[in-house]
Amino acid sequence: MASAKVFVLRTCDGETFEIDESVAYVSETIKNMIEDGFGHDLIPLPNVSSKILLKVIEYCRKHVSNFESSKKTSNGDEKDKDNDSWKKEKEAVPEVEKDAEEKARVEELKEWETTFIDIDQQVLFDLLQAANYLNIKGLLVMAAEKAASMIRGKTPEQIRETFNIKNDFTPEEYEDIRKKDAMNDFTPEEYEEIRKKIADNHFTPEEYEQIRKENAWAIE
Amino acid sequence: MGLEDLGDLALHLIMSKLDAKEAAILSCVNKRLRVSASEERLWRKFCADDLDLLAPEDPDGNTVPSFKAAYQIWRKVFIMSPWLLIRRVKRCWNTIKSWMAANFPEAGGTLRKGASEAEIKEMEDTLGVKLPLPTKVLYRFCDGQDITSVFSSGSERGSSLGLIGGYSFYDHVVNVYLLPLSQVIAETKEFVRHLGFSNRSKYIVVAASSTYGEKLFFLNCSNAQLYVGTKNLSIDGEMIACVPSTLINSVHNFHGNQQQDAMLLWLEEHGRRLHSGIIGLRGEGDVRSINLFPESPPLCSTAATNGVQTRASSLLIPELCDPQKESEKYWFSYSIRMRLLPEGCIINGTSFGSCQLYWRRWIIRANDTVISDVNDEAVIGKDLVTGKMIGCGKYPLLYPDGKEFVYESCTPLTSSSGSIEGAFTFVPGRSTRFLQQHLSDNPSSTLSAL
Repeated sequence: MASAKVFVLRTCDGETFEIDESVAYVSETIKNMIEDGFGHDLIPLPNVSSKILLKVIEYCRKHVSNFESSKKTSNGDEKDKDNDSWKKEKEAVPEVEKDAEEKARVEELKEWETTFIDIDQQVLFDLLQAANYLNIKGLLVMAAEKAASMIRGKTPEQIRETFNIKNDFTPEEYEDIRKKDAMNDFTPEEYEEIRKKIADNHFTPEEYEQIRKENAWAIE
Repeated sequence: MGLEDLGDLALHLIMSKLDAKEAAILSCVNKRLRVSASEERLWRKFCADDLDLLAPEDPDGNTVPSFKAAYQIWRKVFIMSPWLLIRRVKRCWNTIKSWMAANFPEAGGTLRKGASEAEIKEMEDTLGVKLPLPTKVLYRFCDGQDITSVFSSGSERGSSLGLIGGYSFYDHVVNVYLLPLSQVIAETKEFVRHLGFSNRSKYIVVAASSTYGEKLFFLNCSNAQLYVGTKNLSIDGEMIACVPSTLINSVHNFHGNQQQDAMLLWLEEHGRRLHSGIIGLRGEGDVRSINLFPESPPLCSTAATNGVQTRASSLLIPELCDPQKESEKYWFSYSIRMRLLPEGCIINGTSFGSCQLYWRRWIIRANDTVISDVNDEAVIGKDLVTGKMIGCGKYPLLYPDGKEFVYESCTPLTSSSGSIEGAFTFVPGRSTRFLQQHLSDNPSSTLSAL
């Protein structure tokens, strides 16, 4: 159970935050610093801004309270009080979902997560970096998955638009990539050859279009 | 801070949640992301996850410079087939080939490399068929077995290297192998001509027994079902379906969900049985072959009494079945294997170094009707290794050397389900000792056609 111990964190922009020991320990980095004896004074976090640390602390607090309530409704393990349990609980949930109470807890957690990570890009990437530095596995995984979901299903141009990235390839370089690297990318002549082969094999026009789309990667 | 400004570790974490195609798209966005998305460790993971590929190789086994290049080549070579199907078929062949390499390398060595798109097209044009997608992909990975050269040399060896294997009882010997496309064409033409199938017949011969016992497997390219010939095959082309039809799915639809045809299901099941030890090799040295009689529960019953162990299993023998004759509609073969366990034969604390079969009793039922009731002296059986009939006269002697005495026979049933149940009586030592201690074993084996 959380002891009365409290630690003070200081961000790069000079703000301080007080948190309980159990919350602090969600970060492996902070945990190590405390165990190495640096917890008596302020714990400096020069890589993290106050805006981001607020979000991180929100996550850590939720993690601790979720773990506490899961212990009541399922067979939570005392030893599981680390970052892995966040992930483990998520994976083990289908088997543990016996009680209605447990079910409700899981549902609530999912909703909370969706809201929590519904943040703009800038904050997301800052959070990702912070989670990496502070070594908070569950948060890292959540943020990475959110970023991946913003990439999936998009063409390169759409990805550039989403993340405001400049295309720094020259036209020649890009043509090179298109030919060599982008998988199964074909010139118009090669397409004609495939179209003929496919026609002989009786694919419908829709199927052919699908094949063309699936395999013409990285084309705008 | 943008996506491209993230540290390597964070970027890698994001990319590990993408699949290969998404990573390839990302590598076209800008230079920074291209570097990150081309990392070897990422593509090593894609190759392992998607293709069970642990080294950067192309489909012919040649080494290529990187895992990313390997993945690209695989996609390009197999562009004409659905990628998920490629992965599934590769896994199927891996399962079979790895078992062969570990247990039966002489047969594994007969597996030919995959046929090209052109070779398959030629076969389709010649026979006027269109292969179901899964079967086509199966041939793209492996063009059957090459044991014709062994045949022409007149050696008996060719008859034991069949991938599918078989069985033998009395003089009915079967060993089934997968035909390469060239033979598919030849055998199909001959059968179509011989049986008078129409020119537009969708049946092709895909597997055959390499021995004198005639057993032929046909694939119907329309409904993608696999059939095996009955006794009446050469009279009127009669065949039995091999795989539950309900499992066959989407076989000509490039974008179907989970395409599977009878050939794929059949080979996947065969690989599964080999790996889990349900079926395995019999024989020693030069004369090994895959035997289809199940070796382990639940398809094999086993019992041991006083140190004597008996195992029994059975098989449907479709090439003997005569669906047009009520009494011979279903033929089953049963294999009963007996051996003395290492500790010898123990009765009331006394151990005997051998025992001899003396009496046999069994009842064969079709469903619940008794159709055969045998109560007689001993049995003649066949030595598994030499194939010769053994037994001291008719009474086989067992020693605790692990050597199994095998008795195999067959019976027709009027129903698709039945059983054989019985007991063997042994005397310890040899029957000349006149000890009448009764040892009985009660193996019972359920015969059923699924």
